[in-house]
Amino acid sequence: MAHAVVRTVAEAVPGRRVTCVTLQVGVASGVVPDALRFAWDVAVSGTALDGARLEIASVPLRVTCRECGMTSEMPDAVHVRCAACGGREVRLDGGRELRIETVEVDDVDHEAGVAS
Amino acid sequence: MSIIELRTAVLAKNDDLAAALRLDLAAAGTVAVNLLSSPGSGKTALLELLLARCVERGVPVAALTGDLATENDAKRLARSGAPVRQVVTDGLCHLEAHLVRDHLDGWLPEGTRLLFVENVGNLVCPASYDLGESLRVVLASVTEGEDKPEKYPTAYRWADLVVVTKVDLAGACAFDEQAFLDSVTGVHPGVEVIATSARTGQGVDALLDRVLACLMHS
Repeated sequence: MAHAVVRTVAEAVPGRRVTCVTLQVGVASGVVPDALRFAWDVAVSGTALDGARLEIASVPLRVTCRECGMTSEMPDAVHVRCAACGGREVRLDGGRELRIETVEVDDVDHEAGVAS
Repeated sequence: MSIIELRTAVLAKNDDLAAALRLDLAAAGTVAVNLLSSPGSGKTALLELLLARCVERGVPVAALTGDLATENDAKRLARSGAPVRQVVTDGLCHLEAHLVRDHLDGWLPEGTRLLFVENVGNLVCPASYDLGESLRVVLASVTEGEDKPEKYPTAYRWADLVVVTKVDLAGACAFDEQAFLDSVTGVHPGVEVIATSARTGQGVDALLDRVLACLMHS
């Protein structure tokens, strides 16, 4: 997954040296932030993202209760239930996000070698 | 330094390909079923029976089976008489939409109504990759313990159907069905659960009926 992030960023900002990538990762996306951070240094090595920081924001799972109508947020994808009444008849929404939000780049075009 | 707002899904390419594949399959009258489970849960044994039942019932069926290495599963499944193709991932721990599309191109027999895609045995990465399926099924064997859904919530959270396998062994390994169902409910309230045994045939027809119901809605 780290490679997919690196590939997507490199294709989006060709020729630019990337210094920071911010990601939104849903708690039910299947991506473990610690594992992604662990793989990050290897994935960016030798690419335009070499040395770039990785910042990850967690996106909660949103739960709307069919019994009491309240919407609440779950910090994890296990033990899904309404935070207000404890009901289990809930509609699930979000939490699957795996999105690159912003990319910080050097203002120097490394292919041209001049400030852009 | 400049900040560029990308707001791009990391798996956008895969998701776009999967969406296109789903449309192509629908146009051809084919419904794809993505089978996910951990290694050794009995995906292939159950699929052998499902393919054989389809052949008996005259349902045009085909299967792709993904593994890191070997053609063993394709050889096993082909004994059913259904067209089967192996996808060797060369170490990749999951199937991706482009692998499915490339293996279907020019191979999937015309008129195929049901396509089973047996994912690589793994409950982590396969859960993140849409393969263009209309039905995602996660399998759990009774020998794996009752708390599998809580340990792999993403796989269960996005499944359309949960299948318990090897229920003929439930007594031998003191499988607590209610504890398993509670664990499923904890991560995916309301998802349907079907109990099966590839050894006795229990639940196989019920599962196939459930899968074929997707054809009615396609």
